[in-house]
Amino acid sequence: MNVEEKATREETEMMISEMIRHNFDRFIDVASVESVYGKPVQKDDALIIPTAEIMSGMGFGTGFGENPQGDGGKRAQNGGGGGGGGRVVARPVATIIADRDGVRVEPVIDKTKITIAGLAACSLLGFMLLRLLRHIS
Amino acid sequence: MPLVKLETRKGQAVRHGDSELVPRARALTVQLPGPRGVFVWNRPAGLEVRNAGESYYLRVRDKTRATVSIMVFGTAALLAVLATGKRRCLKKTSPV
Repeated sequence: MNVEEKATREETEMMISEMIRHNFDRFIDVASVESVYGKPVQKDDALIIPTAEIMSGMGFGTGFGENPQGDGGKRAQNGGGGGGGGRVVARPVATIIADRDGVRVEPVIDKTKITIAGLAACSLLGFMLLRLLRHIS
Repeated sequence: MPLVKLETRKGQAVRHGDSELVPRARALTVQLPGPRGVFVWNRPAGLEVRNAGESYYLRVRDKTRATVSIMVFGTAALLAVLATGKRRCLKKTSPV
């Protein structure tokens, strides 16, 4: 690898790590209090604060390699690559209501999620029961 | 930064009448060395309510997660019972 190629590679590595660091910091910023508590909303005498749960994840991978022999021994080859991905999921958890009666927390119940979980559990149990009954009879 | 970090953070206080509400959030951060990856789970923990010199804490409960967890653990327990019952039945019916 000549000096110019080495410099380009170092520059690319630095650029990638800087980009990764920037995205990392943005993902870690999700861990702040402000990201799970929404902006307070004033409605008549009541103050409403929505809350949510946030899950975020990301991963990166890079690699560089070189073949000093090159293709058929003519010229040295080197290259690199990288990839990454991430996801952020937010889900409402509860609503905080402060009014004349005081402060209370009203939960947000995701009926769809509970129904799906219930159906899956019932199906699994039904399947196992059927298998057991078949063995008994 | 440590590999796994669990911390409770206090947010900015919100005033409503005589009350002051201080939100708290709990965050779990898992960071792979490298940096290669990061996972952040941030959820509301509760609310500190200060009113006329008194203060109390209100927990923010995730009822959806609690219900789904009960279903999952209940199903797992029932499946374990069924599997044990099945094994016993097979032992009884199998020729010695």
